Amino acid sequence: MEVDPAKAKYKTLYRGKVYYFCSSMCKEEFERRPEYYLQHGPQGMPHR
Amino acid sequence: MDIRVGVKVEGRETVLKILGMHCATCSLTVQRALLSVRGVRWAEASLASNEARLVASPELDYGELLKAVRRVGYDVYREAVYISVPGARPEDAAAVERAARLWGVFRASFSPATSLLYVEYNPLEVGPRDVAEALTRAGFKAGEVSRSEVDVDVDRKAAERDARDLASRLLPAVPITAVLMASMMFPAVPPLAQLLMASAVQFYSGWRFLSGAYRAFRNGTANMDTLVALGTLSTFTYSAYAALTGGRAFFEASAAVITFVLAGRYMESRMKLKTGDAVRKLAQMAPPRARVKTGEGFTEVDSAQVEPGQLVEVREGERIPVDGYVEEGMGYADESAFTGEPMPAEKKPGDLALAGTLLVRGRLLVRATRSGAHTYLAEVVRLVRQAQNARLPIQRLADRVAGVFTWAVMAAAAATFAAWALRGAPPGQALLFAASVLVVACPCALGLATPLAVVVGVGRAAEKGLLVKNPEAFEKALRARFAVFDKTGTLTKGFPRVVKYVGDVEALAYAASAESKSTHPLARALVDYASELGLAVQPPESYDSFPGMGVYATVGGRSVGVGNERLMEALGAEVPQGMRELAEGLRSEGLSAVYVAVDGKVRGLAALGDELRPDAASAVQRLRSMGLEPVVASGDNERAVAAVAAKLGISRYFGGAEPERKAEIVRRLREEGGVIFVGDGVNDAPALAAADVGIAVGNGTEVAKEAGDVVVARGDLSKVAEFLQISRRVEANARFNLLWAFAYNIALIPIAAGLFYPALSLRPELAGLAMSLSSITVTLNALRLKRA
Repeated sequence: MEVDPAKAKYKTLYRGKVYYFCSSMCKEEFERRPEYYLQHGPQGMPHR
Repeated sequence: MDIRVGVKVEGRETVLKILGMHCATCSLTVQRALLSVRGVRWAEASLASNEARLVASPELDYGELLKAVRRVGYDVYREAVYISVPGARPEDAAAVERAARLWGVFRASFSPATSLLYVEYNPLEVGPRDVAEALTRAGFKAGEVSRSEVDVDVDRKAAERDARDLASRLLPAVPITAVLMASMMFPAVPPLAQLLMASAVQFYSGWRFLSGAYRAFRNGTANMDTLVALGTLSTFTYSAYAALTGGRAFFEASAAVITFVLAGRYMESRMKLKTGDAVRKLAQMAPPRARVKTGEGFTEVDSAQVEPGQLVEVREGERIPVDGYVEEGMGYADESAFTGEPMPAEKKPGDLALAGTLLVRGRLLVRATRSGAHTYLAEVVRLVRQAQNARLPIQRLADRVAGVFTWAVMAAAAATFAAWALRGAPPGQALLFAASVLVVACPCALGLATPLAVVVGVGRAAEKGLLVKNPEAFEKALRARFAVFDKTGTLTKGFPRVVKYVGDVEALAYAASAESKSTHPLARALVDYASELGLAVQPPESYDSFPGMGVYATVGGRSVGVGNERLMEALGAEVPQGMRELAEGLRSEGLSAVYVAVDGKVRGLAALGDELRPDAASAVQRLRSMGLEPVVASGDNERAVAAVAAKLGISRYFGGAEPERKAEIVRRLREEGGVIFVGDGVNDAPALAAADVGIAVGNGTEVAKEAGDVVVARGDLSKVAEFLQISRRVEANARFNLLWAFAYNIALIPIAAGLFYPALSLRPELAGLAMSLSSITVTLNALRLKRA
């Protein structure tokens, strides 16, 4: 899913790079396991 | 009108316009508040019309309605008017107020110092005309009515008219009295001629005493005029009888008493005018005409007619006619009238210009925001005048005494006459002693004691930039033990600044550029700091902010992060141990510390904080030397508050206190002693109201809206100590006046009664002179406050 960085509400910094998200859930999921997602690339909506 | 609502409620109906109601619960609150007032039988507040209707018994104290509504946080629309009541004596104050308290009048307060009656009324019920008529019915003269409060000339006009009247009655009395006194020694004037001359003095010159006494009698009271009238009439009548039957007359006594008392009143009314000088000076500062830009040129119009948005030209040496913002030009304005600060303030485009201030240099085009009766100046004048009409609590004792005083004096005079007659003194002599007692007694010094001190004190305070809204603050301030300060904006400047920067300048420029998009106060401080150092701040190519961490931006192709440890960690930038320790140290001082990382490397550390005002330390020190314990209460975090408290040597402080909690802290401290709260007039309103004395350090120009008993114009902490100083002087002055008034009466009445005769005695004419000098003493003493 594409996110426009200028409008994104959810974002996080990791190792000097900004990552944008479509929702707070995605953001939290990324912050939980950043290394996993950096290796495996974006995935669908986390279900929790 | 009497109406019946439904079938049950009988009584008088009234309608109040309620201000500030904007929800359904509001109207319920108002309704409940109204119902709680004694005498109210039925009430209903309507949100739609912003009105409350109620039915009450006619004995309802109308003023209680206003108090009830205000107590729950709303207000009642009312109009105010000043009515001059020439000739009313200080002892008549209660009677005047009672007469004016009609159905629909919330407040009526009469100041004996200015002879002005201030009335706050519900325009839906009554008007100034009704009040004036009620006064006339009670036997008072209702003079000039002034609605526009800026017109301070009412009291001057009234006092001048009074002085003219006094002079015209005094003029014939002086030569006649001189002749009568001379004929006491050289019996050149036949008794019948003496009778004629004395009649002229008694009934023309002394007319105001006779009519005053009659008026008091009709109101069931007695005043100064009663005493003078009784004293002079009795000696005059006896002398007339003696003259007709060939006995020994003493016309000189009654004539001299009238002359001396008139002369005393004349001087008193001249001097009283001076007591209101401060406000009059203020009010006269607004120039009557303004030059307004119209098309190409300028047109002169009435200052009050200037519309908001119009451009007004002010030239060097002129007073600014309106409130507004400088649109064009540069100059210096003398604002000392509002601030007490003698240095002229610089005025450049965007700066606030106030009506009444003097442009000492330059030329300005001012974009008007308020004019006429809406200017800051007008508001200040209004407030000061209202405050001047108040009496100090210590006056209550004097008022109570003054109420019975005149009766007691009359009884004493009767006893004096009886005692001397019983001891076999000739009736003429016994009468002279009794007349002396009547004439020497001076209830007016009692009535004037504190009102005069308040008028002069409030005026003097205003000249120093202290607006006293509630003169009781003078007295309460002296009993205070604690001075509680708000921190942010009161002890400190109210906005953060960079107080320290460690690192290279290039990194700082990057940091400022990164922050230039943010509106956060810390960001603004960083940008300002960089600009002050002359560093170029450029807009970032990209910008992201992370709440609770900081910002991350790209500036000139380099990645820049400004924030705390968490941001640095997220950036993968390692914070050197030394810098981390430095940051910890700064934070323990209550400062905020942010790191600057460029391309993943920490290169700088900035410490930001809200600096203390330059005058904070000295102001706190001065209060401490005056015996007050300073306390800090702030909504800011504990650590920052502790740091500020430590810097000022304050041991008692409260952090994390929201406005409501501040009020709670004040209430708790009040159990230990009186509390002065010094804070922001808008945010700290609950605490200001909870304190014994609330001092609002205002930066705004909406003085009337600010809470607090005293408003310090344009934030200056040293004024708090100055207020205490003025309070001491006002209190001491009022006390001296009261003491003098009591001591004078206690000492001279027995002498006048002839208790120490023949070693020490007072003839009526000397008694009259002493009495006049006594009132003049009180007035002169109050005037000393002008230099307080």
